[in-house]
Amino acid sequence: MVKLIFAAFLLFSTCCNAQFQSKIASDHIRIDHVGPSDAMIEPIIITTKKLTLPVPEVPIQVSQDIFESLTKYLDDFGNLLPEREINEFGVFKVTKRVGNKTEICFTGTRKKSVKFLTEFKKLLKDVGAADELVKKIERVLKRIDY
Amino acid sequence: MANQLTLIFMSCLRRWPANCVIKLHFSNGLIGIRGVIWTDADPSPLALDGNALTASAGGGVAQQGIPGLSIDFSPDHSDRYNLGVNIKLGFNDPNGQFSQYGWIQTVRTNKPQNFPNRPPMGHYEPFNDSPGDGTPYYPMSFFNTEGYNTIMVDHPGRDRNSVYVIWRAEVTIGGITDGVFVPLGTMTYGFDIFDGKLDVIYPYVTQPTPWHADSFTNQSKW
Repeated sequence: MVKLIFAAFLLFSTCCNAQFQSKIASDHIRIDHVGPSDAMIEPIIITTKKLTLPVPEVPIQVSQDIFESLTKYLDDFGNLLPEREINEFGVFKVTKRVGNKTEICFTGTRKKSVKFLTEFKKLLKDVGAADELVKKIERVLKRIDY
Repeated sequence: MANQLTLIFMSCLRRWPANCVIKLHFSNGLIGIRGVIWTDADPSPLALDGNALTASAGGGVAQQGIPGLSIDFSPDHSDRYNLGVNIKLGFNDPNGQFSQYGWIQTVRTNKPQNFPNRPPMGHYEPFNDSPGDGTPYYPMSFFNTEGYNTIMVDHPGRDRNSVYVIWRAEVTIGGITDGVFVPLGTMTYGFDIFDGKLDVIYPYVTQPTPWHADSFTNQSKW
């Protein structure tokens, strides 16, 4: 029994990467860098409700229409993967929660992240999302697009 | 065996002068080194609030704190893929002497990550941890939130299958007046990975190295 508890603890502690991420129950999209890194890359959190989370999590609220456009983009973007392709700098985990359903996927590689975020940024501009959100994406791209 | 001895030797160098003792275990008489045990005491818990931060510097030696600095340090933010640490520093200037504050971080590692606007780096070559935006300041900084003048967050990590990684950061909190950075205190923290095992360097107060201190004003380092 003790061994079982110990094994469960080890499994939890080594497989869980959510210990520094807030649990958000409402609809949201979050894009988190998961590759090895020297400096933290800011998480991008998009919500439909106004939320206050501990830094470095700074959610940005968008309208329901914009949120739906973004979730559709995630559904239609063909290069997201259910598992990490490789573990390299510039790989992101994309979490989408709509209703009570949460889907997680990965950008695969740094180059694929650049393509994904570049198109995501273009969509944000097209749908009139807040400049703050566009600038967040630009800052991330500046770090990974080389 | 040669590789193992090299790792042991490098371990001694990287931790020196920490109070550590290498214990060599011999099996079959004098044949074979079975392992190395670090005997330095586990670092004391870090003060999460208050001005009297003391942290063990890998050897149980208490350091004088930085007034106004609070630390939230997790020795392991690891997941299935990476090993590393997580640090969140909050600062409230007890003298309230500046209207702006900033963090400057220098990193030294044998496994640097690539960044745009920066030439390829050699092993252990220090670099200013900024995105090349023309300022020396660490980017993951937040101001006037959660009760602090400023907060910085980092969680560096490397692949958990890494054989040999050394990662050290010097981070300095300072005030900014007329565009000039005035250092108020410096800490070091970091981690190592040896054969897939994480070794945490808990934060401790230190004096800035010459390279780090120079990066406060030397624009060629940004």
